[in-house]
Amino acid sequence: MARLLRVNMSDIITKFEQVPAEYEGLGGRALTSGIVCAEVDPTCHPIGPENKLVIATGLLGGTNCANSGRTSIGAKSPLTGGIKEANSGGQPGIHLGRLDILGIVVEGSPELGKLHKLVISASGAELMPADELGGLGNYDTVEKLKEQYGDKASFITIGQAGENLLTAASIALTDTGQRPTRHAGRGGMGAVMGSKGLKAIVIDASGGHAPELADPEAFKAAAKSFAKFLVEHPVTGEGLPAYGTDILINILNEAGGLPTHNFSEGRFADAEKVGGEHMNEVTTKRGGVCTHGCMTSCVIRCSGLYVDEKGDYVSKWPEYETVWAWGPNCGISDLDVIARIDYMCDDYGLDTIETGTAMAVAMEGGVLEFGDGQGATDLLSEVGKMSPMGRILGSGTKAVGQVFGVKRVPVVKGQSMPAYDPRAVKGVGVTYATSPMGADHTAGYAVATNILKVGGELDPLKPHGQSELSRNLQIATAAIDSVGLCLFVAFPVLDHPESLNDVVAMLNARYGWSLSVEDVPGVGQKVLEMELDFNRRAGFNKAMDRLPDFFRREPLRPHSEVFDIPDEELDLTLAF
Amino acid sequence: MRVTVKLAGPLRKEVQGLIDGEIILELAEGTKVSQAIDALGLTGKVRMLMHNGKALKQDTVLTEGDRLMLLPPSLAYNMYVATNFLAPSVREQIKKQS
Repeated sequence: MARLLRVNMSDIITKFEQVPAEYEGLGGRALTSGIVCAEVDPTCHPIGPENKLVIATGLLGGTNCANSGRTSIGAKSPLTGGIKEANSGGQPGIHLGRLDILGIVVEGSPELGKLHKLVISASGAELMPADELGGLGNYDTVEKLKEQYGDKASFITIGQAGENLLTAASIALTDTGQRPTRHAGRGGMGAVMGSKGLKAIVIDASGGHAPELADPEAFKAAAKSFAKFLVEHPVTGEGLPAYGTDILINILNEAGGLPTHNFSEGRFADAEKVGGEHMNEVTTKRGGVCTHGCMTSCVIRCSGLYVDEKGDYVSKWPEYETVWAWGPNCGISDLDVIARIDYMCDDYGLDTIETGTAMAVAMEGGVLEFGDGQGATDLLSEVGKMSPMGRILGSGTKAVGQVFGVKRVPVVKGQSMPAYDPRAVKGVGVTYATSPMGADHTAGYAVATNILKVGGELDPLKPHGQSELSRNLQIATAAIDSVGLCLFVAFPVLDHPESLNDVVAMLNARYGWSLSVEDVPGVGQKVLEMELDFNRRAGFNKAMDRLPDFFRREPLRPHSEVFDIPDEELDLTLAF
Repeated sequence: MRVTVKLAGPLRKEVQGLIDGEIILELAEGTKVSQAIDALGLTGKVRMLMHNGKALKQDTVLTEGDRLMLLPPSLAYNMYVATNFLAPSVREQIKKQS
């Protein structure tokens, strides 16, 4: 029977409880947002004792459904001041599922300056002092934990950024090689974990078991069919495994939607040097790994291992958004520099998007020249030293814009935009503006079953139809996030809607439900409604569902487009 | 007339003589996009297509200095991009299906 683990950091006690009736049927993002909505005062200070950090597995977590081990992490965001869910791959989601833990709720706050680790195993959960881990980056933290807890455990940790409550701080989750490379990156979740004095969560799933299934045979059949769809689809079976997400660099560059030099151009002259084709070529030549899964249930394996000229590990393959943020957006065209920066961000525990975008704003503010890779690396290292400059950079794009008097600051609800310029790809602009998460691409990255029909009529440079596209994508994404599936499962669903039947069949076979495919959008909509309600109570209003004014004023080359979707349409996007 | 074609990912393995994933084609006046794809031996292998960085809804005649980017089904990644830049032949196919 799935349980909730309550962790009280004020009294240093842990307690398991049955999932309360009001949260039954919720998992992943639906559970984190459900708990935050019901239990957190929307007006509380995000790094105060009233906020709660919720860590949840998806509804299929721990099962043998392919790509179902995502971990959702939610709280009131110190970056946006609204509700936040950031989800990540890595092993912890699978391990928590095998220990019958659907969610962990971290509450209260400890005596100032005290650090703890939460150790979870089949025999229970215990908070232990962890002062010896204080000040360490994620890599060193994990190394120390491995010495004590072995090579089978997984870890959820924060680096210096989280410990020091920086609003761009992420939470790291270890991958299949126990590297802290997967991150719940967005919205400053690391600062919330830091505010709880929780440096690490150790999950030892030995002695755990696969979750009980209401109908094991039906589950097995659906899981097998679903995995086949993933393996046989060209995107999930061929494209992502070979090139990773960085393949998007050349595509967005061609479309004129690759934000360059702090969103002042739509194309980067050196895009080819940092694109996925080049990453694949360099990695192959140097003996790195091009096809690598971040969790054991993954059949897509879009990650890789980036190595230097000697063949030594530099970082995992930086994601497209990371390469973009530190590459084209900062004018840096050296993939080796970007990979080292990716490692540093993973180690300090920083959102690579937020920090990279902040760096570009700092460059526009005259701190550095665009294209100065060494300067950017040196400046980023200030976060590790917690110097005043490091603290400013680690506080995100909006803060850096304010400190250096920059007018072109690409944020919505205080969170930086990722790697798609909304003037060239207008549908994503609607998602940036309206998502309760702040500017976020994953909030509308997936696909509704009817999307092909919609997509066939769309032009990315025209305003018509973008609001409907964004709404469908946001609903579908919220549903996928709640099941705990990797968003990339959306690709088979795009071409083979029957693969969604397999997901529904697995949910029914796991829990004894009788859901139908038609119920799926309702699940997503309910999540969005909860999140919008939290934000309203936190003081958000329509004026915050807008892009910064420069997107309406400054035409973006090469297409000379501005963002011209009317406010009224933005307001209707999530008006359920 | 000269037209520059950029190829993405695995399509680069199918065409010789690329520099940074690009090739310049010498084509007869009046050549259409679909004919340029045929000339490269990529018939039926293109799912997404950009013509001068924009979506192309119908097959069209190329002009001097045009750019094409061609993408196979395995690279129809981001949904905003994938749905926006479907190749005309794929759009036709979808229309028929629906």
